[in-house]
Amino acid sequence: MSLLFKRIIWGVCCLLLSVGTSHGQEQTRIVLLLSGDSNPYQEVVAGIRSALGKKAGDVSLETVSLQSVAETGLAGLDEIDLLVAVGTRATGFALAQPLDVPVFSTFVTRSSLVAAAADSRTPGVQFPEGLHSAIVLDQPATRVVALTRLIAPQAKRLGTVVNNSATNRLEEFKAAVAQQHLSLTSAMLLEDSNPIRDLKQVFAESDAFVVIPDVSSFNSKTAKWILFLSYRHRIPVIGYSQKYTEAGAAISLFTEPDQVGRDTGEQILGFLKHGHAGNPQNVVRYPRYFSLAVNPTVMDSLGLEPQTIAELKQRLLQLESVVQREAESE
Amino acid sequence: MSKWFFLVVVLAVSVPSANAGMTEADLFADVPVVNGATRLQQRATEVPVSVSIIDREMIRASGATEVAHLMRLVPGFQSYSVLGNQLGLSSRALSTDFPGHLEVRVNGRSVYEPAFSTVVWSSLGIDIKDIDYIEVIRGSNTPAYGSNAFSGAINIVTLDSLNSPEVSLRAVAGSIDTREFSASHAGSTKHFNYLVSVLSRENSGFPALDEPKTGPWPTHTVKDDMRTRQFRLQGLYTPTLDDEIRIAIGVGEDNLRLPENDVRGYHNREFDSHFQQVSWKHALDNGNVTLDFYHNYLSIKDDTVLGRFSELIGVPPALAGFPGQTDEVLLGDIRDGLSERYHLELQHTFDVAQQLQMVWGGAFRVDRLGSRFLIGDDDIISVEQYQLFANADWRFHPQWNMNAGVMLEHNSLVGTFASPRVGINYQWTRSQTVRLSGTIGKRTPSLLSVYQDTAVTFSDGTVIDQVGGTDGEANEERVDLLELGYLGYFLDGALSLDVRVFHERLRDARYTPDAPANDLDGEQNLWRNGLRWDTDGFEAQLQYRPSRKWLLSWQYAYLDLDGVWEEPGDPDDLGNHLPTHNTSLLLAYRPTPDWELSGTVYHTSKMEWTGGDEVDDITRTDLRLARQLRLGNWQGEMEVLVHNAFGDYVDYDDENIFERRVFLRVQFDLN
Repeated sequence: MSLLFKRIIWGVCCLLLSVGTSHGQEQTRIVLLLSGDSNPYQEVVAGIRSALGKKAGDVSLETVSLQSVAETGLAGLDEIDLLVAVGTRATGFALAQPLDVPVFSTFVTRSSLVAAAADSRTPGVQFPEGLHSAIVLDQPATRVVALTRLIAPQAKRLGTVVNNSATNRLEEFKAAVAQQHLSLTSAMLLEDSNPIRDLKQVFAESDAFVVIPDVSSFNSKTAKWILFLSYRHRIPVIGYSQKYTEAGAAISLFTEPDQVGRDTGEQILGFLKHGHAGNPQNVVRYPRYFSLAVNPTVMDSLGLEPQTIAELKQRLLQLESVVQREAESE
Repeated sequence: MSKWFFLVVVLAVSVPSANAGMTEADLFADVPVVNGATRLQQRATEVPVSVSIIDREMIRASGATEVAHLMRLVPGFQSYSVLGNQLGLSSRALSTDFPGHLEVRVNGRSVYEPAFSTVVWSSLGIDIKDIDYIEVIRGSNTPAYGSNAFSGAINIVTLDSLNSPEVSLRAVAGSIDTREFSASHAGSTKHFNYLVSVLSRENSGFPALDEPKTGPWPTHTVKDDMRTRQFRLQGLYTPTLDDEIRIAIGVGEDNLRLPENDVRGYHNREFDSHFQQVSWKHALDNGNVTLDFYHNYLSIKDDTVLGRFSELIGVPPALAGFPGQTDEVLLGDIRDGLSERYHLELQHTFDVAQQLQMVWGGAFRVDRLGSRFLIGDDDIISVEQYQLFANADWRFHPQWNMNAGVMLEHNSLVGTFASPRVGINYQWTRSQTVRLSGTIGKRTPSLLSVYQDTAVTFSDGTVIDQVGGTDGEANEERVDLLELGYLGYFLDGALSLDVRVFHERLRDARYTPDAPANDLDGEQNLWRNGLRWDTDGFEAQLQYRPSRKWLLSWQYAYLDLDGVWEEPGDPDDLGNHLPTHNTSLLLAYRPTPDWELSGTVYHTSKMEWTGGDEVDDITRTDLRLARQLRLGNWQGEMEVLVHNAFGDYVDYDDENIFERRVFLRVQFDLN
């Protein structure tokens, strides 16, 4: 066990010991445990505070970073009613503790959440069932496919590539594509794959290409070829970040830190009202809020109908709702 | 939320543990952006220098037919015509026939020619339609790319096999007997992607030079026409997800007729050139490694015939000889020459820590030069050069990042020297950055400037006129640059403003003042160190792209140069060797997707071209009307280009009268 990790454990123990000694009865005590101090985490916190609005006065909202837990401990806090873990490292740390308080993870990806949960299953540490819920950053496949239908209505065949760590996401996309009566061509890109050769086969059988985000090293190795081939085959790419759009994707769908914060804040309001951190039937859910980034140059060159982001977003929300209702009725 | 959000996020988000799978950091990580400022993948807001990008949209809208002319869209750059087909490009440096203070690369390959200490633009081997974008570093970039980037650095990135149309054809015809044709084909085999392109160009140069010219001989029609043929092959092979291998080869020939005091009024110069380039990029878990090799070869044949010695000095043939000599026909200029460069470079880019990225590497280069006329010897001279470089970008605060870099160079001409740079950037909002940086740039003297020994001689070697030589000493040139810059994006990125003020102090520059010689006229031009000048400047670039319909790009530079061309008995104030005001405005409008109208106005205030003449203010207006065409699966465009629509102007030399020129350009692409 590393020295840093020991210090973190010690800090949280101090926090937990202090919880029962000086906490008042009126206010709900919520700790936001941040994976880091950098801007994105601060924006998540700002979003949470903004969402709490007037209710913020009714709760004790403490912000603590993993780094400060390691360095100074958390003495001074009396009691925790809810621990909000912001980011992967904070989630991994929280899940590894024998806590008896609800933990709400946010600003994490689904795969990192799964990995953190797997890592937490260490001997002697049992996380109470039902006390953990989360909002993940990944976009639901249903939403991504619906967006593709909106910007490229003629596209009936979608394409994508994944590596072997994203097979679960691929299955989710296959289901979403089938549900919306489209088809999906995919390829598995491994370290020894010829990316251009394999991507060309996918592009040859696709009308639109959906980027399923993976670890950044995989994303960066494939992005250039995906964007080049999209130009060559005149096929729109649906990316996952503003930068992907700037680099040449027709459109990107993503959730920004302040939007996750707002979503998280509303979840906290639910907790204050109902006393639990998440919906027991849906303890891990996708983000409610999202942004779109359109590349008008690419859209124009591909002959795609120009639409304002506001219009597109509204239509996407409506279509996503319809698709969900259809899924529920089936 | 602003597009520049990610710029902050990518460097600010902590790196997760390796076994966590995809994390929030992966979602917000940058898609790689190539940047020539520091060799690191950075955005314009993060670099320590001013960067101008000329993209395809600007290239098309400009209506330019010469690559060098595109640089007029960069603040502070002067593109000029030494002759109709001998182009020059300079930035905050003296505008000579052979300007050599800029590093120009094509896809990372330096195209600087050691024989001329400059870039031979006619031998570049690329058509303007093949350019994807041009990245211009406005200011010394020696800490990243070494000696040649003394005043700035240009990287021309061409389309490759994946983003080129499957077939592309272009033809241009019009004024000055212009006939151009280029074609390219992009294809692939199972494993290999390739792009083949051919280019043919010819024109007759400045019409004004065709006027009968007086000289020592009966008048002749002067020619400055050009004919060039180029072939290029680019290949791309990606054997694994981690490996990318690129090759490029090119072959070309150029025939230029250059006005000269030749018995014909011109002389022929033929360039035969070829190059080979191989680069391998390997992705690592942390960063990447690139290995790059290239070879440039240029042979020169020149047939200048100066005439009979007696005619040159204006005496009867019987009286012409030096003691012991008889009258004979004299030859001049380069005659046969060779210019060659080998370059091998290894570079490693990686993250030292979460907020600290670094690139370092080394290069080995050999420059070779052969020309009996230029260096007075049949041997080929060569110089080996070693480079060791490192650049780092440290984001020590979400709003602050610091760049530091150094280039160490060593060669047998001047020994070892270092070019360091440090800069700090502050982003007070996500879309606005101020920057302060200091650079000390060093430049090794060119091979020619160290070894030149040019003379017009009798056939037995007796010197008649010692044209040029060197004083026997050679030291590195030095430039100290301090700049304060601002870069702001507004209206969700549609409007950008790039401003910099700078002070540049140049010392020990190589130049060729007159010096005594033991020959017929008693003087020669002798290379020596010693030229110095100080420049205070202000540059601005504003771009506005509110929609696909409009494009506006405005460039302006104010330059105040203080220096003296020191020459015994004839010092020359250099203050007017740079234009005080230099501006350009590009405006393009697309009323419908099928029509586009664009115009560019260039203005340069009165100046004295160092190798040319003093000329008044120049204002040039280029116009372009374009119509999109469709022919089955072919996408086409027809353009009418008018260069210098209103009134003639003098370009560099009093005899270079740039008149109105009209061209028709047609292109068809099959995707």
